[in-house]
Amino acid sequence: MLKRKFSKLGELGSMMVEAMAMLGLISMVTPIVYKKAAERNMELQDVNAASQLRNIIKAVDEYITDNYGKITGAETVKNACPKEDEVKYTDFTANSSGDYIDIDIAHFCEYLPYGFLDENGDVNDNKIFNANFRVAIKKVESGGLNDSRKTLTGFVVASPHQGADFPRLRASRISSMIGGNGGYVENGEALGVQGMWGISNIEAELGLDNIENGAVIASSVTPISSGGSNDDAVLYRKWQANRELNTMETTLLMGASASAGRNIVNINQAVIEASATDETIDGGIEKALWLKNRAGAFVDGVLGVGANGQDLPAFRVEQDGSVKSGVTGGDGTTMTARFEVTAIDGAVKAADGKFKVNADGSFDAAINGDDGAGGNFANFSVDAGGNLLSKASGVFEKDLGVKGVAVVGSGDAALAGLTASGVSAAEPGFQLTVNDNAFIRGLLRVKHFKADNVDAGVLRAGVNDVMSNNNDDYTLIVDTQELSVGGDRFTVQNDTGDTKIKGGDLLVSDDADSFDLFLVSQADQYTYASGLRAGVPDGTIYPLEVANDDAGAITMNLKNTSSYIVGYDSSDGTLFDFNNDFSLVQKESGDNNSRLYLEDSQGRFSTKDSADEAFIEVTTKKIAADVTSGEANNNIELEQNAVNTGSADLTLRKSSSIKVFGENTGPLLYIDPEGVDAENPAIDRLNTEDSRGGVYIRRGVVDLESNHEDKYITPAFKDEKDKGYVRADMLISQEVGEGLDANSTFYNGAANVGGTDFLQYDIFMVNPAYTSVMHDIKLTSRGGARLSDILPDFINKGIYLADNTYAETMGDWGSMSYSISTSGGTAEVKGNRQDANDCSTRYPANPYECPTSPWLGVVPTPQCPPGYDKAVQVFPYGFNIAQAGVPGPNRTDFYIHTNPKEQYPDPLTDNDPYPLYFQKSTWLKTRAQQIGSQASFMGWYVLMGFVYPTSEWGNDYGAANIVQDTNNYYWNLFPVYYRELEAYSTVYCYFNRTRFDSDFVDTNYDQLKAFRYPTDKVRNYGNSANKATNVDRLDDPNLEYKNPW
Amino acid sequence: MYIWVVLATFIVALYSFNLSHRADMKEMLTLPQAEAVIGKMITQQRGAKKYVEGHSPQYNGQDVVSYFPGELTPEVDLKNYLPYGFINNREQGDYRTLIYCLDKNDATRATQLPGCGNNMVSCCSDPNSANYIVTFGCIPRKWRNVRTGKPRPEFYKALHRIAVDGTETGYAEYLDEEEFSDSRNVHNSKMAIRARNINLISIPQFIVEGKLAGVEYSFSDICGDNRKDEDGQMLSYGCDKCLVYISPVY
Repeated sequence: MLKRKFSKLGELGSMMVEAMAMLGLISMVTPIVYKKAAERNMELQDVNAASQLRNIIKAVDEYITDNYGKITGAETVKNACPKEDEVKYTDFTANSSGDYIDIDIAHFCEYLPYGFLDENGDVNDNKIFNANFRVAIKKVESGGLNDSRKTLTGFVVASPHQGADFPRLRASRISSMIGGNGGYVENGEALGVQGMWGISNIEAELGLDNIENGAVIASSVTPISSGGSNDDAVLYRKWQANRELNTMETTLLMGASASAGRNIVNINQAVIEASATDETIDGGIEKALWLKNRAGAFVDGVLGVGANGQDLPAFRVEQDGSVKSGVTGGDGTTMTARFEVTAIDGAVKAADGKFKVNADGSFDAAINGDDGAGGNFANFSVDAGGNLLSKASGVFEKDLGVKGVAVVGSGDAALAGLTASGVSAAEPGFQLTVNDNAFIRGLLRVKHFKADNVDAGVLRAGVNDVMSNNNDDYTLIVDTQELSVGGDRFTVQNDTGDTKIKGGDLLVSDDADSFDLFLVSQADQYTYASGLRAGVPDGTIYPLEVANDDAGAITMNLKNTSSYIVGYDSSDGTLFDFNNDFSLVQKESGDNNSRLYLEDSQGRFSTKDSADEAFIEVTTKKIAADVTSGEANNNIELEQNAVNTGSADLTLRKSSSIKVFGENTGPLLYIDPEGVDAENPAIDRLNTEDSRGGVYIRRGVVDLESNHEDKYITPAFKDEKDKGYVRADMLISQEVGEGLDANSTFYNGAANVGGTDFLQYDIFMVNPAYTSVMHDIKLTSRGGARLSDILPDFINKGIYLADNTYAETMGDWGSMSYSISTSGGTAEVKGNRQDANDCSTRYPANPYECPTSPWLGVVPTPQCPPGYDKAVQVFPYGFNIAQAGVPGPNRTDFYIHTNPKEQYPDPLTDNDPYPLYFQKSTWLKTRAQQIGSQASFMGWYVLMGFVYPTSEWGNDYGAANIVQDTNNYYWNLFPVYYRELEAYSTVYCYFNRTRFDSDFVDTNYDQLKAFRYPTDKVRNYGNSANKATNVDRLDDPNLEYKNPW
Repeated sequence: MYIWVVLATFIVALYSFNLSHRADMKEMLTLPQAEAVIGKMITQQRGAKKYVEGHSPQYNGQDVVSYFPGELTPEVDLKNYLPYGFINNREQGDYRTLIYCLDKNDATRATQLPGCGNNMVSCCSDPNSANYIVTFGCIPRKWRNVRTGKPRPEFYKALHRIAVDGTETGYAEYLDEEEFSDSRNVHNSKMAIRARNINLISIPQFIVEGKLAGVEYSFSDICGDNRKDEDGQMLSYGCDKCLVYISPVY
């Protein structure tokens, strides 16, 4: 029972706790809920406020758009608003800066949303903003260089009821919901959304004063300006060549009524093509152009003033369809026409009746100014050929009678096409002028004919005078300019048939190629023209002279290869006499015919001086430059005449010489072996007794062909090695030039040997560079032995002394690294443990107590020619093989110790008994081991010491600085002291034949296995059949010459 | 149990405040903000078009145009063609407006017309000149998808509302290989304008690749080939995505 009671109490307690918690939770959350609800309300208010401002600024923009002209034109805008129905934009100029105006929002009643203003024009109450909406318009004039425009921007400012306490967060939110043109005011500055725009002082720049902080401002979405093709507010399209871009596919209505409509001005051309397809034409297509309500069409050119004061036009279409022009009076409805198209018969007539175009196309013209009343008309028509026909006797004829002046053609009045005024023989001057081409099919007879350019098939002069029948005047006169005659039609004849050119000179054009002058030879005729004479008028031969009084150049041009000049012998035998220089000149490239040709064997060419001495004389055969086409070379040949068997030598006397110039790719001088006797040289001195006349080749090469026949030469060697030889009793060096001192190249310091002005060695000098590549040299002082046979294959490059001076603490030399140490200007190969284990270092007091390593040091590599091997030899020459005990003053025992490396007292100074040392092994060994390889090869390290086989001495000495060699023996198991061992190490360069790939190196020569048989000459080892004499052996077997020269 | 019922009620109440209280809240609040970003470029481009018009023969009193290739600065050149109070701070990344005068005979528009200079007749007046007004600038990160980097749908919509998108306005993007061969890529260009209703308006090659003389930053520096260094790192003035407005001048 008690238990249930407590249980009940427990339930009640739990409920109490839950109730308390619930109340607490409610008390905490409820304010949040209320706060959130209030915020949502504010957001909704802000959304509405932003929408409201967007509408207002839109209304302002539309207002500005509609009234842009008046606003910018400083005019007054009127409307039907109950308040502020008029704004004078002269105020733009009234304020200080002249570029803004503050306008009451009531003025925009026609643009604002319905209900925004009450019936009195006041702003209705508003939740957020107070009624004091401020509107300003800002005007900006560009004043630019090329573009003058006025831009209007509207601004609306709405101030919240809360004034400056209005939260900026809300102002900013409203602004951003307005869009990019929204903003709010802070400290008199308009702050545009996202910094897109801003006005630093709206009072100064917009004239809006007393704007509190937090006020929301909106500007025009886009500024309104003139000339803006992108402004939706104006209809403007630019001209485009592609006019479809400006096509309007709708009816253009210029306002709701004619009174409110607008004009279309500045039309260049209006083309009306009536076609009622999409849009019905009121009144039908015949009224495509309808001037309604008595609207007239006025052709500019006012003739008078009507009764109502209106202008009377010069052209008018009457209601009956007639067209009249030339109103002379009346009130505008009655007209006296000067020109009329009659509606009845379609005739066109002048108002005075003096000219009429009949309905059939003929026209009448009054005769002698008759007004037509008397029927005094002349009738004309135009036929199908365009001929003007006049009517006589009831039919139209083609005769056209012109009395007075008739003008045909068009153009300048002063140059009318055809002008004829009175044909009279007594009348001078030009009675007929044709300004363009005239064609006369028949005969044109002219008494006196003058022309500057006549084209005619036959042009005759001197025929009968058409007027006087005078037959005497046969004259064709070319007064000043040239007479041109085509083809071969130019003939000059007198009445006897003789050709004459009367008086004056016959001038031939200087353009010689365009004119040929043919002189026809007749018995007693000659042509005499400015010094050109030909013919034999009186039997005397007249030479042909080309005379030139002006002393200018004269060219006689023989055009083709068959042209020639023939001269005849005269009394003095002179064929041609040239007073001046005579030149044969090649006129054109490729013409090889500029030569002076003397025909047959009697022809000769000579020049002589005043003493009649010939300088050049060719009397027989022949000096000729062969310039035959296609030949690559031009030769001058000296040929022996078959008749005169004398010499055809080319002899140069005195200081004359033959010089050959040019950039030839081949030799300059050829010697034909066929023309040289086998026993005579190709070049020889004329006087063999004279010491002069040697051959001198400056900086050249004498390349001699082989004298051997093919049978002596192995074909494979012929091209490379087949050369001739120079035979001389002496080849001497050059002389010492004047001024060369005693220190010249070949002077050895000895005085008066061969004279101080000459080289000491009168020997053949060769270029050392080429001597070095000589195949071989025979030394006669060595019995003609070849130098290659007597040169050693091993070249000693150095002998080194090696002794044991490094302590055995050096350890295993096989693991030592080596490098080139440079110090004090020298380079030395050293091991990395070398210096530290020098006995002088480790035992400075007495190095001779130093147990040494068999490592004696490094022998550097010799410097060898390429291809030579590097070799080393190590010769021991001083060593202490064995000592059977060192008996000191008190040593009598013989003791064999099992560990010879154990340290013992000094047997010489210690008085204790000591065992006898006995070195059991006397196996002395030397060895050289290379350091590095290939390009990094540095030399060898040398070992010398005593070795002990491990098979005999066990393996227990590893820890006592004893090095066990890889060949399973120990080095210096017994101590070997400082400098007890000495060896000579000799390095060589070895001429290893097998490394050379050359025909000149006997690569198979092997002293052990392939040595040459003592009397072999060729490389046929051991074959006695090829043995040669000693003389033969002196030749180089590789060259395989068979004649011993 | 009562406490849980009450607690759930409050939770629901609080959560309900996250729901939009107007169906068009996005249009009311978000889109105007995007429109403000885009509107600035539109306004600047329209000002530039008016500038070009004002320097054309109809208004400049000359027989030829009097504008030249280069930058139109809002504070100087466009001062009289922009809304009063318009702010442009290009050093902070605001839009830049350039005039390009390219060779019309080059179908890809990869070359400029030669011979432009302020002391002579403008090359832009050459009959062979294809002239373009280009306004461009970075799309703020706020208006781009974090994952793809492309503009958010609200931005597309705002672009569609205030600009004639798909013709001259949109964001610039490099084409992939397939699009490069697309017949709509009339300039054989690497980049194109994309917008809501159309995804490929070819940008003339020179605009993508070339630099205008005398201009601090051309389109290629901020939006095109030169916006990254040799290592492919974006330069300080380069944009991941650019908003661009290109108007040919007829």
